[in-house]
Amino acid sequence: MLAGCAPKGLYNWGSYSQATNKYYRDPAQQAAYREALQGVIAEEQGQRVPPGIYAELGYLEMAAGNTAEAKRLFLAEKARWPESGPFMDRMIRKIDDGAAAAPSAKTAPATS
Amino acid sequence: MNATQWVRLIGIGLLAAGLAACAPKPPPLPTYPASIGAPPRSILVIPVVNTSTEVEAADAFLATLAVPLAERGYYVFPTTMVKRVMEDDGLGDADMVHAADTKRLAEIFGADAVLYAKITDWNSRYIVLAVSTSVAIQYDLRLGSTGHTIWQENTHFTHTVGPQNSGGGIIGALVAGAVAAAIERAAPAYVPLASMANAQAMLSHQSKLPPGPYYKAPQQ
Repeated sequence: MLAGCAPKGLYNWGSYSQATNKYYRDPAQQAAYREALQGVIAEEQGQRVPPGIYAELGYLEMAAGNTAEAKRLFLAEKARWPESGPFMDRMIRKIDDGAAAAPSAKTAPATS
Repeated sequence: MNATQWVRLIGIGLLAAGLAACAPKPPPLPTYPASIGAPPRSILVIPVVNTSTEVEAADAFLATLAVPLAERGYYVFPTTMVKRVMEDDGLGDADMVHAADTKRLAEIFGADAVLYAKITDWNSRYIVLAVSTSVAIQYDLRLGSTGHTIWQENTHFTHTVGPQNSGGGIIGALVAGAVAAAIERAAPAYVPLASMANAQAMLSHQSKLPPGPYYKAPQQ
């Protein structure tokens, strides 16, 4: 179509939309989804990373047990987008509480 | 002036003509009434309620919402992460989330506004020799501090695939129709259609959604 007229968006989303859709339909597509998020971040070099991308990747890392990387990404989201501050703080607290709770969980075996 | 320079000049000329021809003066952008107080900077997209017969529509549609809202200039909370966090907190059911107190939802995430989206149609119909795919969406943006609606829109998009004129008589037409149906089934047009619905509601000149704080008029 009229490529010259297509307005340029605020952000480059790369393959974010397609990868998200595929991941929703099939959890086995998580690797491609992760790569799409990493691709958007690499492409935009910090200044123009769209809302939510650092956080989405951080949540994948958190779920995979990579808590240090998750924290780094949640802090990156907060630095890039101050609006995310309260939510990111809450997630970082969750990681810190989990890390503090983990040793005691080992010493107290589940009774159920 | 050599040939390369001419080609370049013609290219620039064509580009300029094209831009002038396809850049109508946009209407003024909508704004929020002063009565709502500070306009929202951030939007929490909550799981989508789906009253269509297609079970997978809710997630497929949820995946399309972050981009147009961000492009409209808002901070959009990470939709996939929010969905998972809500599930962990026992808020996995979209109907339940929609019934919950808006102010409370906004407070949990620190969001200025909450987007409620509802799918009322997400369907492919086999009509004679063609396939007609349609999506219909209701959007409802509520202010986190009051729970009041500050923007709402209903959109409906239909896309028909089928033989325009079928050579080869009735058999040929039936085959063409079956092919069209197979194409629609293999690569459902739902997501592109839903993206068009979003763009119409949120990004077009007709959009009544006031732009967010990061909005910039599209660069040509």
